[in-house]
Amino acid sequence: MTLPTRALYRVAAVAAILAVVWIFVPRFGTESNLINLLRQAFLLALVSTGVSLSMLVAGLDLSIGAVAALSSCLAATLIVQGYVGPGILAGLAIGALAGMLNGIMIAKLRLPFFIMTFSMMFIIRGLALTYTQGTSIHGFPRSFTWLGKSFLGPIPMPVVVGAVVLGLLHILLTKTTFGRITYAVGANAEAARFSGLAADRNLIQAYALSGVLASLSGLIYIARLNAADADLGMMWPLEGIAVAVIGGIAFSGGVGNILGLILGGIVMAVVGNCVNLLGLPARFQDFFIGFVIILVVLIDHVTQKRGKAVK
Amino acid sequence: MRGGGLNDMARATSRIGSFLSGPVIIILGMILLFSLLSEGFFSASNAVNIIRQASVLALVAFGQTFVILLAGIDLSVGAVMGLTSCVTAQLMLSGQFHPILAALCGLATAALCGLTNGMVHSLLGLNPFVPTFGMWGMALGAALIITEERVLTGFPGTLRVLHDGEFVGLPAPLLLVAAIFLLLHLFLRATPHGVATYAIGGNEGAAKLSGIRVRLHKTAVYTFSGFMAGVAGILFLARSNAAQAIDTIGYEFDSIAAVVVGGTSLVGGRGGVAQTLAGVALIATLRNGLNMVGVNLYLQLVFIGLVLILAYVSENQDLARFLRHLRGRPAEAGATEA
Repeated sequence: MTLPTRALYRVAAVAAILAVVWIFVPRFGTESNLINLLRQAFLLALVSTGVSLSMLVAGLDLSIGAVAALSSCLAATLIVQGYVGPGILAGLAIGALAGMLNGIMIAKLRLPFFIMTFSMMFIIRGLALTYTQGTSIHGFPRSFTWLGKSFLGPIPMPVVVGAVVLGLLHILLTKTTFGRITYAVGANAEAARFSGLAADRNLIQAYALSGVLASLSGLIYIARLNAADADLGMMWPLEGIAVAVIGGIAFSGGVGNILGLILGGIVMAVVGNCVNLLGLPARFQDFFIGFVIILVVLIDHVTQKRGKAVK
Repeated sequence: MRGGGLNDMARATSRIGSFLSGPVIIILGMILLFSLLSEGFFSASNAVNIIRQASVLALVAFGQTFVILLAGIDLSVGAVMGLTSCVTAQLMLSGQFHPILAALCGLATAALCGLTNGMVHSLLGLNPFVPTFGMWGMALGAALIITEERVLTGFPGTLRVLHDGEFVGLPAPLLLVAAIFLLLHLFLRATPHGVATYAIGGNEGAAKLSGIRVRLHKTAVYTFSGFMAGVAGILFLARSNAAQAIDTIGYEFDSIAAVVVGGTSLVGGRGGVAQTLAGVALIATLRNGLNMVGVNLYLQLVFIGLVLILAYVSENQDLARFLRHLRGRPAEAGATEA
């Protein structure tokens, strides 16, 4: 089955969920709620971009939350002193560096991605905590907090940033050599190597980009919270996986469209939002998200099977 | 013995050689280092401490080992541990259940979670990440719902004997872990089911063609992993004497790390519970040692990450290849391990 048809199924499924929720959940359709929902959805999609890139190359980047914490804490130090631009650049550079280290160890030294990124999660989180000593950094200038707090017309700035980033990533993955190699490496790294593709370089680039995206998400979060601390993003790897899986990125690598993350983000945000609006305690959220993950993938799996000729 | 002295010696040396795998060498090195740096580290009481600390991780990692041998993964174990301890604690608090009966109900819940994982994975053919991660959310959610996000305390201390008790001078958790370890080790080595586990992990198609009931076997293994998470959850409850849904979150990744650092391959079909025991011992010794030496709590995380990488490299990477890579020669054709 071609990808567009499958993507259409996914969009239709999410639209159906939204329609049902819109009808049955009171106050869901109000403007302020929808704007909140949109912001939440795009923040989740943004957090998930790093994990998704690593999943596309048949890996998994568990260090994204820690990388976001370290880079945003270091950036925050500069930003608080008024150096907004240099702060942001430094943050992104640290993300790139951490990601590149992941990539080099995985591609060149053949460490399993799990061991590498899991260990990296500890190392980077430890460095972040050592740096802040458990305190938080706050008091950012307006010129920085607009990244998280301001609006473009009625649209919150994180949504704009998220949309731009996802759009650029989509172009990068579908229209460039980097993108083609990424999918080839994810589908079969060995075959990609033997056909002369620079698979190792691609892996390093993908993990470096994952680090940059983690830092960017971190920066937007601290701009929104107006505070940076080393505990940022503890659950990001798991949340990112959830968004990616719902969005149609396959664990086995080489399959999935980055724009699917928007759907994944919307579904996750809607679940949280509905639990809230229905007056249920927040604790119901995890249960429903777990359920929705299996359900969505199951539906996808069934429709996919029907589309294929029986093997 | 007679006449075969040299042979015997060679065999013994090679056996010692295989015993001295990367993790074991690192553990011995750490013991030496920590003993020199800290006065209290090399003592019987601290050894008992390490064993008590390691026991919970060992139990959950044993279950994870079986799943990883099948080339699978179980992300739900941390949440299932929490659910088990919360169910058990809640039933004890209700006053209508004997603590042992409550624990059995907790174990049944855990096994049911595992069974669901196994059925969704093997019958529907979903990548194991998905059902087990979904189960992570559902088990965590269920635990939060039944406890109403509170910390459960004030139940009878009957189960504490599992963690605090002693039997012929040995700590109860050591005996529990040792007994389960021996059973599982023999099971993997000496029964057709154990061999089937390796066969499926090595080559699922071939295993199916040679008559192994792959789906049934997979379902059983995931059920077992859930069950072991349950046992670990009960032991965790016995240790902390309080139950909270989120206390055990993190064990899913800790257990995978322990299994892989020990030397079981994520690609499946290679490794075993003995390797896992080494991995668990490595992590527990490291954590305890860093504490005893008085390393800053935050810096401990950095050390743990570094040692995990080092342990894996020492176990799996040929040093020559390592150096060749560092000098920038092109990579040999070898799969990037999943």
